[in-house]
Amino acid sequence: MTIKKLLTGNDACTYAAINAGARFFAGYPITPATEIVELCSELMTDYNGIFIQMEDEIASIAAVIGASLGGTKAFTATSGPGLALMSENIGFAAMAEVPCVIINVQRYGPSTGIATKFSQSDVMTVRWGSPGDHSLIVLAPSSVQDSYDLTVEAFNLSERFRTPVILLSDAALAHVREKVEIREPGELDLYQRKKPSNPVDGYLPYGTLHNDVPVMSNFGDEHILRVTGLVHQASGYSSDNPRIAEELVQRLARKIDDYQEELPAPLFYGNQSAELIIVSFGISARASLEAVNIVNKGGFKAGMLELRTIWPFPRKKVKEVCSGAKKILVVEANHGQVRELLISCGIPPEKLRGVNKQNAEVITPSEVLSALKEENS
Amino acid sequence: MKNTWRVILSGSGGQGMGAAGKILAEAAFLQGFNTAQSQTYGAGARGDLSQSGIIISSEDILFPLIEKPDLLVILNNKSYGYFAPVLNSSGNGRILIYDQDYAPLPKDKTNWSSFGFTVVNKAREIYSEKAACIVVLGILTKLWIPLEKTNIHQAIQETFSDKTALRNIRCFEEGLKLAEN
Amino acid sequence: MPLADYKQYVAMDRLPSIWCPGCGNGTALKALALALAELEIPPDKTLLANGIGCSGRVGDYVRCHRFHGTHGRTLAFVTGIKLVRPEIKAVCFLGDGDCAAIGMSHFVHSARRNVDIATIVVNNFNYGMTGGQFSPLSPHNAITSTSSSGKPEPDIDICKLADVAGANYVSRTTIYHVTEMKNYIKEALGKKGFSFVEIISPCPTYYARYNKLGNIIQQLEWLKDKFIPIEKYNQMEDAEKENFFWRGRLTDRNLPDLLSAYTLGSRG
Repeated sequence: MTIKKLLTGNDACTYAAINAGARFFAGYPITPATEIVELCSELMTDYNGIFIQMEDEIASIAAVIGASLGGTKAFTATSGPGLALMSENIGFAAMAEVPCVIINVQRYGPSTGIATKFSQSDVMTVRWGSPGDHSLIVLAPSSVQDSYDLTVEAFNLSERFRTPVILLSDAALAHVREKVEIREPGELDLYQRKKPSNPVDGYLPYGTLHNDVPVMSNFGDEHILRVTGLVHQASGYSSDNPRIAEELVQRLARKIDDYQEELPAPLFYGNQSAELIIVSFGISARASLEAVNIVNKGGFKAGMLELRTIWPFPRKKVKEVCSGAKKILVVEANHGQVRELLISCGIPPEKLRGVNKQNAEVITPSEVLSALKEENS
Repeated sequence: MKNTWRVILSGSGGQGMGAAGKILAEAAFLQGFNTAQSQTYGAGARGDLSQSGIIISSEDILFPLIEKPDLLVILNNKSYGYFAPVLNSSGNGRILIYDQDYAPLPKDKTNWSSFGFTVVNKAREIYSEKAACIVVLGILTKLWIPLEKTNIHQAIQETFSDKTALRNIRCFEEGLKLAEN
Repeated sequence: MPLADYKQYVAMDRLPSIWCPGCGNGTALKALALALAELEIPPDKTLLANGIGCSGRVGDYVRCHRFHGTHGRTLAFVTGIKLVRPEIKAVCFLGDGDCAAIGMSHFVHSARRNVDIATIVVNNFNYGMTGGQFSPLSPHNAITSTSSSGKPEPDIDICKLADVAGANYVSRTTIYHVTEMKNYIKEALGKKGFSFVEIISPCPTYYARYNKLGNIIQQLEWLKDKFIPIEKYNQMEDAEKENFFWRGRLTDRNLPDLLSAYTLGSRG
């Protein structure tokens, strides 16, 4: 069944997680993600799942990883300071290849910043917060509907790739109430974790690869599972062999980076042949869309590329869309983190204009509009 | 014909900005409108300046937050300070509704069409200051936003438990009456 | 059961271990394997989880399910595992630094929640893997790599802490007392809720050398002489207690474990 409801972004994420099959939530209250923690405390009981409020965010992500290794889809929700605490264990989940979903509701930082206020400044932190080389999937919703849809997708991708997936929400999106179509489990395409079909004796947890992703058992299953954050062999026993280390770390990147076509693609709005192109994400993409709509109705031509997968960064599509543009406006509520990524794609800095805001308030359509008008004149 | 309303309710935390905003959005949703509602979080919601913004539209809502309201409701003096830039800008077609006891309109403050009502005291008289914004919903829907009374009733019933819902419905009805006078 | 059955839990083909000669970790592992064998817990229903450091390598020598997480967080990971797979017998095998320093908060909260985990701490009074720095459990005035003129801070009685925090079972023994060690582990494994065994262990490479505790035989004798039964210890005058440590069972009770409390609380 599909139900239409008015929900906040935080509520939509929570219902999506439940409908995607998550039956374990561990978390620690933090503004502006707290509503997810609260709603989970009610829903998990209704759905025979487990809710546990841990002693901190380190323990929360640890319990989530543990539950996932037990075979249950599991998630947590947090914001900047909590995400910082989680980063070591997010790296562990990447190294040990444990599916899990982290909803990061961005707030104003650095540090405690302004707990209740908005920002989009965790673009780099979500990717590089944890030490070591590995890839990671980060999705950014721009509406309450998108919060629902991309949370479901986050669970599918985490199971498919056996990796942590971070949903990059923000304080504005978390609390705005909008109409959302809730597709229930029967209508959702849900990815089920692959189970080993090898003989139990001599089973190697990291020994059978499917598209570069190991087919692993769960703790308590007949196939004995061995998991470690140390460099490990196919057996799951540790190793400090340079060849094994290199092979493992390169596969951790390859298993995601070589399969980017399976990740949510950027959306293009407006005029394909426009000389002015906006690149944006999250709620800033909504302001950009309104501005693009206004200019396309009467003034001049503009287009907007909304990034839905932030990491791995969709370089190919971004380069393709930006190649014909005279000027590219990067609209983001931070100092210019996505702008840096565009430069790393080889787009000349002089073609780029950052439309940034760092006062804890959202970027508005009129601010994007004036930037577009300035560039057009 | 007007097809989009951007409403901001502003006052002190505890005057029902959040609940009334949610009810207005729910009622609009029940009536088939597109809607988006937001509110301030944090210390504001616990007694300082508190706001709720509601967009109601028959068209797609591209940006869900309000840059400049069409209907601004002010229930405390502090809100004038916050909205000074907005109220000093063109008031073409824009409406200010204020509480005439607790937020009397300062002289030459705005060129917006302005209407004063006794909202907070009315809510106190019938039930509690908590329902001040529910009284406002009566005024807004009677004079400006074409929402059915039954949809507001239903939204109130979905938000509160039985007894509290009845009290809030009385406050809403009182708002309708205030608007008639 | 025949003694040899303990080998079904141990990856004999992966021996010898990386531990130094005289280290207590291998002895503690064997005591654990013996206890598991006597209780006939199948390897596919046994989870050995360990932290980081010398004791953190124990998982490389077992045949049951094995989890090796991040430093100090083992109990938090295993809380998640146990909540979704309550049928697993979970053993957390930790070191003193891992459990009582970086992991102290998780230790206290796991005991408070009474989560059904048997926790074994091999306390060798220092961080062996990183070169012999002091841990919160190193005795006051101990010489270590980070306290060359004596550890200035007091230590803490981790067993008493576990008791106060809410553990269902708490005991302490040493590597010297092998039968007692196996029996205590067995008691801990049989207990529902949070159970805790502290095993005092020699570190011949660092701690014993820095503190002039002699060769490994002398170190074992030190354990034998200094760790006296709790009943005897409790009868001593305070001044006399200064020269000894207690061993024995401190706590044995049957408060509801986390999952029972959770199930009763939310659905009862």
